[in-house]
Amino acid sequence: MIIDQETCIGCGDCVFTCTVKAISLNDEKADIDRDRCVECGNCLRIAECPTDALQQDELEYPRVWRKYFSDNQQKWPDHVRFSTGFGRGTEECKTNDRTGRFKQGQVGVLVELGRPGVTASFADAEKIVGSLIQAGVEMEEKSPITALLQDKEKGLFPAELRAERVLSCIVEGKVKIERLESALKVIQEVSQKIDTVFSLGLVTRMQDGFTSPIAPIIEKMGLETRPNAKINLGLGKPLVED
Amino acid sequence: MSHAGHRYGTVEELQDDYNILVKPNKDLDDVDEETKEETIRKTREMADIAHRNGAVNLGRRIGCTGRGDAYEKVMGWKSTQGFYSAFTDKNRVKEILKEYKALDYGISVVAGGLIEEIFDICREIELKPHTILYSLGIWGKTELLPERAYLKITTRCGHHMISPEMVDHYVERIKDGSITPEEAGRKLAGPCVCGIFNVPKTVEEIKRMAGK
Repeated sequence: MIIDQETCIGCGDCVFTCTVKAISLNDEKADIDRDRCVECGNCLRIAECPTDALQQDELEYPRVWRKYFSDNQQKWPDHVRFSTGFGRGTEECKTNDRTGRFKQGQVGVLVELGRPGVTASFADAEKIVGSLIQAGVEMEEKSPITALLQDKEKGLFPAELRAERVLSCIVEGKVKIERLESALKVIQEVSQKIDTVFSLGLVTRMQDGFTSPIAPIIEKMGLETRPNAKINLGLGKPLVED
Repeated sequence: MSHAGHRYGTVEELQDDYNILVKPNKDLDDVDEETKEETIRKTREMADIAHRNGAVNLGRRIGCTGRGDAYEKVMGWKSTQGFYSAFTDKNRVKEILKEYKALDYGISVVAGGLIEEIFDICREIELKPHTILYSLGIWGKTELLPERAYLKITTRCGHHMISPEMVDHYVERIKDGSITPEEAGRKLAGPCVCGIFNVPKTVEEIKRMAGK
């Protein structure tokens, strides 16, 4: 995003719309910190700029990836479009009753970097990806983050991407339940080495509808699940049973 | 949009806040024109049930009722993308899910909210949860997080398009009388087009923040 300094009248009505505090009012003009801006487009849609000084400039690689990951209205390019074309990850548990991506004995691992409200760099994401691969987590192929990896064995992004920042991105994979504990230990370790936050999600099939097979592992490790969750109700057909 | 499972708050704060997501699958429901039309018809019928039963927000990529978009506009969009919705009444959620079960349309349905409350509903109407996305909370440099009073509100948008600064802006406008709490709630729902932002819960909180 840019703010045309010729036409900006410094009303400040765009400042509060920024998701990452990148807009400030200086010398009676609004200004965007381009390093901080993640190209989410919120300002353009929400602020009612009286002089159209707020503008979306043409984004080039690698900066354009800020927009794909940060703007919930921006459609992904074809080669990383795996679901509806919007959003930042896969359908995770949402359609699992029909797709069976996560089977009994498998656990989905979702590391949502930058959320809530902090932002993340691809360098942060790379640390998570590399650690998960070492812990035996199978990276989700139909995920934008995996698709961007240059070295899928080591979990490395193209060097020029590492400094780019996004509002959030989701590192997705799955692991056999026997290896969940070691994967969680690795996640605990790497959480101390990143410069951001992440929300951690685990996707599991339920036993008899109401029993979580991962609950004993989480309890043994002294971790806790939050009291709220997203629950696939098993109304899909044909229903995947295995 | 997995962040619908990461809404922030205590058990008490998370009460009266539910989501229902109706989610066709691209690979299964968008395979040919006939299947696509059938999916759009079924999705519309399921959305009508949610709307009739008091959805406080219902949205898709093109907009959401919580910010004031007309329901007909939101659901008039011919797409197999399904819809997301928010509720404040557990009994309404139960009635909707009961109707979905009876319709037996075979489209995936996800409920978000307090696990025990959703489980209660499932037991009562004999649904068997298939897969769960559990949240293990926030890890890493948590000192960078916004204050929890904001997180309760901002995590209601799955993409975190609503910032603490937006909350502050509208709280100040409520204080100076230039906007009502209800209008401010709709404004805050603006960037969250998916439709999972719970507007009435937010209105209660911003009223408190504004000392009203």
